Amino acid sequence: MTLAQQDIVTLTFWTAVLASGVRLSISVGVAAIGEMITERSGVLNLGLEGTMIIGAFASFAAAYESGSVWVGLIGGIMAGAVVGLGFAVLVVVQRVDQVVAGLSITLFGVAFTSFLNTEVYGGTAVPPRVPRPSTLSIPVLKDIPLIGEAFFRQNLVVYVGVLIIVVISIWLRRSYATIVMDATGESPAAAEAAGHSVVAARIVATTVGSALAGLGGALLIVGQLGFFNSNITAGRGWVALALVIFGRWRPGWIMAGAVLFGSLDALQFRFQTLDSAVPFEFFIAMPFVVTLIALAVGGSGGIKGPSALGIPFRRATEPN
Amino acid sequence: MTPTIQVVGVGRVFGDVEALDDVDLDIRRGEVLAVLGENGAGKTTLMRIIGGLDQPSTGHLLRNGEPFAPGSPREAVEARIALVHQHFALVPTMLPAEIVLLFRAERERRCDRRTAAEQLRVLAADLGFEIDLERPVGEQSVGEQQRLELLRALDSNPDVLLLDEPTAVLTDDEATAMLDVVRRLAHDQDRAVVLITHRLREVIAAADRVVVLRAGKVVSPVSAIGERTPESLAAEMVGSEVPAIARKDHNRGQQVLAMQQVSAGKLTKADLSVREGEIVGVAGVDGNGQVGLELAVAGLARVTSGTIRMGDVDLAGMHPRARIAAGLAYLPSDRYARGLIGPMLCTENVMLGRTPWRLQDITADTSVRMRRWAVKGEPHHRADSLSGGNAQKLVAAREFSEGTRLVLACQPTRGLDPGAARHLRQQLLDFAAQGGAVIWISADLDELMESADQLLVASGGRLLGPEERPFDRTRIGLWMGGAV
Amino acid sequence: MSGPSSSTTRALDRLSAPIGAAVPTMSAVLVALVVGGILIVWAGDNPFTVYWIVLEESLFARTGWRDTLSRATPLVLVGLGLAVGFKASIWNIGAEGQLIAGAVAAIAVLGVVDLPVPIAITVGLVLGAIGGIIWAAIAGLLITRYSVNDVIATLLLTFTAVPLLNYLARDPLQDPESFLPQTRRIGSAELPDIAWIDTHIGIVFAVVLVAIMAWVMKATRFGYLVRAHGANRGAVYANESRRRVVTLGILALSGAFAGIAGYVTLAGEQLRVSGGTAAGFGFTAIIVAILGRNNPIGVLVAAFGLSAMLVGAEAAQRQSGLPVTLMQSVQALVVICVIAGNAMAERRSRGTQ
Repeated sequence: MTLAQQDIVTLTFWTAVLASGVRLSISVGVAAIGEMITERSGVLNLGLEGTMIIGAFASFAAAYESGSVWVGLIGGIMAGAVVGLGFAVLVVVQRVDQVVAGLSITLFGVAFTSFLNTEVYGGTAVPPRVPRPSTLSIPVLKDIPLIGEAFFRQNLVVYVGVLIIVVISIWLRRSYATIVMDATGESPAAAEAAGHSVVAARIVATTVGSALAGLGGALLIVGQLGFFNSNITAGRGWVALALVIFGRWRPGWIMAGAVLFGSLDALQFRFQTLDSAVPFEFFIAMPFVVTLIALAVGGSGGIKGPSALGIPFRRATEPN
Repeated sequence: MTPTIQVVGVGRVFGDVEALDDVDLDIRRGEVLAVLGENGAGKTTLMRIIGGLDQPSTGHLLRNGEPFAPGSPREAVEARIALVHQHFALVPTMLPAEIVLLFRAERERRCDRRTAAEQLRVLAADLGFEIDLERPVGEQSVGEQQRLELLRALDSNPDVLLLDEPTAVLTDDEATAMLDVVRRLAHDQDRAVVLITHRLREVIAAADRVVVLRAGKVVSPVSAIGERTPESLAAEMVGSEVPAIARKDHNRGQQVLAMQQVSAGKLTKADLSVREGEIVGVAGVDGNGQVGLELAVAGLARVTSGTIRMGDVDLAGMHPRARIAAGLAYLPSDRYARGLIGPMLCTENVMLGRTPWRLQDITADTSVRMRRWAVKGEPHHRADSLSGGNAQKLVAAREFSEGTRLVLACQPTRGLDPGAARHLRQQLLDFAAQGGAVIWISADLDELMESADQLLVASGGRLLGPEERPFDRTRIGLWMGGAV
Repeated sequence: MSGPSSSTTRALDRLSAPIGAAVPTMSAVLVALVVGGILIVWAGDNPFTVYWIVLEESLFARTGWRDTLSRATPLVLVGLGLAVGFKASIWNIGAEGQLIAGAVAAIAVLGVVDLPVPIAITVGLVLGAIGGIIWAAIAGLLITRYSVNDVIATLLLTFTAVPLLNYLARDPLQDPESFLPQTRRIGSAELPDIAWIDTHIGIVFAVVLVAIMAWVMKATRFGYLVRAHGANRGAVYANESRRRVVTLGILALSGAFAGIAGYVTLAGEQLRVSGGTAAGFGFTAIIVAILGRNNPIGVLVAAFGLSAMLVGAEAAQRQSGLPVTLMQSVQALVVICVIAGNAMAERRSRGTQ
């Protein structure tokens, strides 16, 4: 499909961009909310990109082998949880530097999934695809101009993603676990004084957060692309990390940022085919540039994350 | 009557330091027991053991005559023991009701913020406290936070309440009100209250019985307050072998530093002037602008108005090495964050701020300085291997040089054992006696009254005063309480 | 500890310290290699054969040795700069973008201007450094002025550098005589080969810079600042220097090294700038710096080790079809095992004290 310049001004164009943007934002958004949970407990997981891509591959393999997108989603969650548990043991129990450990997980994830993919699915000329989830249209609502397509005519997996985000957001508001999680991230000494185990809370939060990152990768594959490639996440994990800061560690803001990023991403795909004076590479770079600008503008307001973010916890009675 | 808690021969060793040594005492319901001692006497360690946060190396506890060994704070709470910490165990971003929920024991855990807030309100009304349930605790005053700590502890309805320095950050009025509540909790509600403090007046005013600790040992076994006076308690607490510090009046010379209408952080429109041979003390409860003052003089804060000059050097926002070149020595209030580099060697800490572009071996100079300041340690040991007192001495050993004209000493004796604190105070006095100028910020009013030539009080971001010797304790107390 | 034996013990301690430090590292490498071996078996090859091919083709075969050296060169250069940053706890992980900027800066000038050889090479090194510094300085501005997280700022800038590179190579800087998206040749700034090791002179620059950096880190105020900043930046800002100066200075230094690496690979290997200039050296160098424990000599050793592994793995791919990405996974596993091993060793030594 090529795009003529006058198409940009039509409603159809923007409706399609938004619909595709929402699809793209679910994947990044779920991963970002996972990272938010991890960070609010005081652990910085720079392995997000690696976790996401491992989740993506696991979901691809599970969905392809089983023929079911749902098995694919579960595969992504489980792979993410396993990686997260390993990361948690490294940084929470062994107190390895979180930045170094996170970077290693990312480098490992990107290389390892590429290896597995060539080894297992590399033999064929056409890359294998997973089954497409069915589309669910909600009558009447789907015909709302602009947002109808985006929110009421999506495939089932996207709805599941939205549902998970909503459930987690509500649960975070109400649950006791949120109080413990925030206490470990803000003031681990207080959490310990209150009789909670900071180590256990951080392991759980990191594992859950990584499971969501794995799900984010899975949503990208089974909900959107349908195939797997080397480096398929292409920096989305890093954008998710930026979104956590941009969204000030709150699910609503994070999702708003995710939809913005997703729409830019969708726009980028379409502009690439547009015959315009602006080089298409500009549009590829645009989501990252906008993310950086958003962070710069937000950062000057002096926002701060959890006070104990990135600092390993040592009990007062432990020898140093 | 069996004591509700008995401490029998408890000792606690950290590395080669004996924090507690063979401590015996008994805690009874319906009375306030004061545990008195200087910093480092072992009071907090003892409370942590009873509260389940730490375990004794030797000895044991009895609860109503039965053996009792709480392995965690949770077990202590289940045994109806509650501990109020010296350093707030509050999470600044949380609402009061969430703090209460955080501390609740497992089986009562229902995450209903509204009910918890209501219960907290009732609890506060019972004690006659005002409480703000809508704002995160980090935005509340230290007095409010301290009251919330107490309420949080009472939420589990304990019959043993351990209060670690509950009045340390309060103004005199707030402290009086707090002690009144403490007495009611013991006498009217039949709880056992342990009050840890190093304030003698509080012991006399609030306690029924007192035990005195010194260097981890019981020096006066538990006994009724009886005829004791602040002076007699002081003798028990400090012992007689430690000499008082020597202060002589001496001549003051030219002005060294002049600060006019300076605002920085919480500090607003503050004036301060210090002359050669003069010690200007800045008293006040923590959080009243002292940090702003410290950082402004050290050149680290953004000064939003006014001028700070040392001679013709403008100190506001200057390069740290320019500060050193101007002869301003700096003992930071947070010596581990700003004064020392823990993982680096003592030699490398002594060259901090003074490095030439090509490094030189300064082992000899370092050992001379360390000896002069009696730092227990080796030049090639890491700075974080030093104890608190020695770490502070190492900072001082670096900062005091030939060219030093002014010392900015911020909470210089906080966390030091009595001997080290006294040594440091004497050094500051000697420095002034030789014509040096000192700005001495401290929350310990007694130490300033003993040493300073002139006193200012930080209150609500302003600097009140100056007061000249002899100081009027009542008026300074009023200033500190914000009653101006 | 006291008594006559204490000085002997201390001397022994000092001797055994580096050996002691190497033991957990070596065993961690071994663990990673075993895991890699299992993966090779799973992929249907004999791990011993594969590892032998890796070793033979990277170190013993003449072309392999040459490849190992030339591959190690940019890794050493980038790794040196990153090591300084990591040591100071300034997490510049966007060296890839800074490398690209250095190469682009060099080709933009040297692609059109013809200079005598020694001058051209000097100009190339300077231009590379400037390009890298500019790209790092953008990140530095975002970090110091707008409080953007260092990891995210440097990395997202790389994601913008790659499309920029593709655009420049396909349009404004494209070689008018070529149909491919690539620039003109570097011309007289091409690095000459050293005959007896059969590789370009870039390796000499790298080794000289390792020696210089080893001295700088140990014996100068700059090195002291870097170490102190990594250990407790608050104390540095209160006594030694300002936050902005230190952060920008260290970022500029690592940007300069990455930019120089960009010029060196351009002038020594690729000769033209294209999409392939972003070959991942900036990312592999992160592993180099971490495995080299942020120490210049360590960086040199790690760069050669990793480069040999990659060159060998490529040979193995040609011979048996085993994907190179396997060896990249093993490299990341080595890092994970090494940091975990170090943490465990540290714990044990703390426990015995």
